[in-house]
Amino acid sequence: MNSSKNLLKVENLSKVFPNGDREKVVFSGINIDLAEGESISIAGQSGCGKTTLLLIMAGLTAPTGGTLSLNGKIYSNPSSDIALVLQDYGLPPWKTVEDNIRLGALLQNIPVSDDEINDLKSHLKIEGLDHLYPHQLSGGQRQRVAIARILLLKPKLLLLDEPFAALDALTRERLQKLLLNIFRQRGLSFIIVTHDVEEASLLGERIMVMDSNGGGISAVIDNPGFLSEGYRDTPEFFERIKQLREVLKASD
Amino acid sequence: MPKYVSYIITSAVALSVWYAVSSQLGALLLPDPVSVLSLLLIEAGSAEYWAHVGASSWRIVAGMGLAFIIAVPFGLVVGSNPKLNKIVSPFISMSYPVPKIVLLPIILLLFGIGDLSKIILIMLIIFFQVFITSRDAARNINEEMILSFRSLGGNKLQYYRHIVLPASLPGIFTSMRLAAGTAVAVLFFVESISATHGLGLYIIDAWGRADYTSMYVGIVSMSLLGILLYEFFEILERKTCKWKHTQ
Ligand SMILES: Nc1ncnc2c1ncn2[C@@H]1O[C@H](COP(=O)(O)OP(=O)(O)OP(=O)(O)O)[C@@H](O)[C@H]1O
Ligand SMILES: [Mg+2]
Repeated sequence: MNSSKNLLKVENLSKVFPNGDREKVVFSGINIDLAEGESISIAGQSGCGKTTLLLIMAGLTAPTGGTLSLNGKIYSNPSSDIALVLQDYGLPPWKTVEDNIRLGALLQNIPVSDDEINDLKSHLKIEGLDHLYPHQLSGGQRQRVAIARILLLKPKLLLLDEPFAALDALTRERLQKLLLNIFRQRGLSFIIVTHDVEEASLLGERIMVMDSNGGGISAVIDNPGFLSEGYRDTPEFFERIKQLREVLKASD
Repeated sequence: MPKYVSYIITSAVALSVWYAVSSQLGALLLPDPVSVLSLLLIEAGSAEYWAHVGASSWRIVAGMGLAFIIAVPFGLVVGSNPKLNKIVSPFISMSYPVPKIVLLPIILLLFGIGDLSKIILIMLIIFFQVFITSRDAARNINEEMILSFRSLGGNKLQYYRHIVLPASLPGIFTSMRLAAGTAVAVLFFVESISATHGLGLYIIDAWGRADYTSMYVGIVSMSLLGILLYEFFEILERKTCKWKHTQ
């Protein structure tokens, strides 16, 4: 993927939180280069700063040091090219499925056609739910509504924070496949953050491991076969998981 | 069970209990419901009675309306801005427990003995309940929802419109319903002190003449006013917070 255009560049990023009268360094010296149409999974143990990193890349939290640029332009605020999906989906419970899907377009005043919405719904298999409220949906349906809502905005980069963690194994597998399909078809890029070694190995073209002691990225593992058919059942996949597990242990 | 059926049943039970108690106590202490309700029907034909109802309704609706219009936006803004909340909330905690009703003499001095002081006192007492509910609702909005909303491109004004207000409405309407009871009590108090019209005056006047049937007509009317307000906010809540009423 070295030939493709660079999309996101993270340079020397660090985040420090005040902690009483001392300071807590969550991470430092993080560098990430993400090409257009590339995916990265970031694995790390609980509390190592994965969510913090994602919120910074989404322009929602200011870093303590370092810079972010998208297509060569430095940014520090949310951008319509970057979409964020959080673990509990962030769907306002007072908006119906239809209104939730249209929310981003409404806020940014982007006109969308009914055809566009219907295509998206059928692709994500959330048809016929229009008038239901989020609490009337299953976890998997809610997650797909959250995905529909951001795809409608045609982002270039998807940032996902453990998006499938609350789902049962089969639903999770189905949504992981769906994510890869969208990724392939739409040629967008994504960064997924997860503490699940299988998920990291399944979804990332590169797997980055985050250090638990404020260091930053302690290892990068290439995962070239991740898009191949039936990757989940190949020896390569199991090898990757084993490798990742060992690196994670070492980074603790 | 439809709402009106439960109202009919509740009223029937209340009237039976009333009837039973009044036959025990005697008509002097508690006139029976039939004579009170028939007098109420007769009164309903007199312009004078409606002038009392009108005066009371205006005061309570204006007082509660003002409290709503001021307390809700103020509460939502304070609850959504931690820095502002730090400045404002100590003043609220300090003044909330002060019984506002003791300010009546000052309010009468400042605003005269007309409608304005009555409306202001009702407003002042309701204000705190509604403000505190609105502020706390705005403060407790799920952090992930706020972040998702901002990343979808929502600005501050849109945040109030699409997130803060709908999140807070159920609580606000509950507080308005509770406030209806408080407002009727305050209304009775201010109208019994000074008024040329009003159901409070109507009750006190009948009491002074030892006309207990009329007194109960006033009590029933004032209660109906409270019930109407309570129901009004319930209906408003059901219309505006549909998501709360789905399974
Ligand atoms: N607003 C904040 N103020 C102070 N400390 C914070 C704040 N947000 C996060 N932290 C701290 O930063 C560290 C990293 O938090 P973060 O949520 O990014 O971890 P994570 O890797 O996403 O964990 P998990 O896998 O459990 O979701 C934690 O120690 C946390 O306590
Ligand atoms: Mg996290």
